[in-house]
Amino acid sequence: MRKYLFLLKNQVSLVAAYRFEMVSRWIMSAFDTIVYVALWSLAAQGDPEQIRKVFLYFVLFYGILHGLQTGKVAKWMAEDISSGQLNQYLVRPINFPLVQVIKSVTVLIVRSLVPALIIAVGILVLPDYFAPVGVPNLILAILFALLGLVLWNLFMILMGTAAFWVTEIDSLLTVVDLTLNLFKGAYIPAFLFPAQVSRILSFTPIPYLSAFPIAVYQQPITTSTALFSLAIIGSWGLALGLLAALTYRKGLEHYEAVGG
Amino acid sequence: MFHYLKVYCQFLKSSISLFMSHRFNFFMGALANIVWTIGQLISIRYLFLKIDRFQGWEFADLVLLLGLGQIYYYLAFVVFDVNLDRLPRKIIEGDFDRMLTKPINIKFLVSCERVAIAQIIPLLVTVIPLTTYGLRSRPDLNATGLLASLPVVALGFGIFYFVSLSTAALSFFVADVQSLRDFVLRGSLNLVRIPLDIFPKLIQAALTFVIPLAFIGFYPVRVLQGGASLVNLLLIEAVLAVVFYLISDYLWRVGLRRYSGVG
Repeated sequence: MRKYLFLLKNQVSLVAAYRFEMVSRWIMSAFDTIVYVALWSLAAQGDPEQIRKVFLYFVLFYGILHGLQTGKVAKWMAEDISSGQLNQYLVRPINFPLVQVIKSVTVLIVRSLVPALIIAVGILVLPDYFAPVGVPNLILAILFALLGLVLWNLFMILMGTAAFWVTEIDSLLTVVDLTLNLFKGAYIPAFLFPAQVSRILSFTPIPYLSAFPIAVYQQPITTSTALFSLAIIGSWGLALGLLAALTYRKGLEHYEAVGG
Repeated sequence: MFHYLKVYCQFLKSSISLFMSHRFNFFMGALANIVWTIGQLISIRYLFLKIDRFQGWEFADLVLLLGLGQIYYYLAFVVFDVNLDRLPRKIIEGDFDRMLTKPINIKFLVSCERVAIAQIIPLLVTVIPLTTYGLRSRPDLNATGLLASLPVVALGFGIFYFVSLSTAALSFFVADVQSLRDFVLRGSLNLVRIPLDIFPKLIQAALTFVIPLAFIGFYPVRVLQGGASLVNLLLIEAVLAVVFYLISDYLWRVGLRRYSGVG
């Protein structure tokens, strides 16, 4: 455990060194937020309550949650597998996918810090626009966001293991990411999805990545909905985890047979 | 001029060979852009299921805005952004020294060394249907309006080339310039899809004179709608083109001197 904490600390210093990149990313997230709030406020047709809902939805989506789900884990895994850097991990008592997740999570922590601070200040200064529906909802939203992050990283490990068989996965990752964006609620607020679509999606892991934590933040949630969501997240987590472990093992066998 | 055309043909040939040898990756990259555009189109369609129009803007106008924004995005990437994006890395890795030894204009070489053939696919697959739909849906469309909006788009493209060239030249001064380029040339391009009318005056002015995005999509559509004076627009664009050219030229001259000085 200590070695992973040490890695986390090292990564924080490394990420903090690229301050300029971080600031640019924040500004780009702000641009995305402005674009989608501007567009979807039109659908609110002057209803201030609905406009506030759209605003907070995209602030949370592009400010925090969208940034948490990057393809870095898969990308770094693929790079290390293709270049043979994986060998360095295999000869050490260290878990290769876990190291990539820690590296990625560090970037995300640093990246989310300022948007989270802005939202915190917003809650104090402009509670009508930023505040969650209640403190328990805030805690639950954070919990669900973290569970969503676990699901996402398991999926990314699975994608990363594809590099054992194909040489380049960058563009494949982009296609998958952009397709998921449509259903995650990046272009259309998830609360405006047709009921039928939302119902089907609720059985997939997609809404639990972003839309569900935001919904929990913005509106009251029943115990049965929370339990249903936890059951779905748990099932998908188990399935993705097992699949990722299996493909990683198979991939390693392939890697060792062919040679790094 | 003829010499440069011949050189460009050679760049094109080698880019085609490169494209053929990495077909899968390039096609996936193109597919990603197509998926993004389809996502945007679905979101606009869905929005207009909830509203009819706003401030004179209809669904077809927004499709046209999206199409025009995409024209710039892909064309810029096909022609020069694919190369200018790689300048910081070339400087760090020393590859830029090789370029300086060539008997050719360095800005031309840095801008045009490679042609992003794969991005021609989304350019054809997404932009043509989007702009055709956007134009055909206009009941008042005529050849004059169409011809009048073309120079606005072309000059807007030229201005943005100089913006791109200027930001690339910053690589001579700071190491981490790619993020700035991403923000100015990609992130801000998101705003092209939105009619500027809905923003406050200050943001409208910033997107016209500081990051002149408005000339890529908004003003050409306004010209088609008959809501903007063509002469005034072209005059402003000409002035901006000269200003951004001078900025890029200055940054390149000082940057190259600095680069040679450092070694």
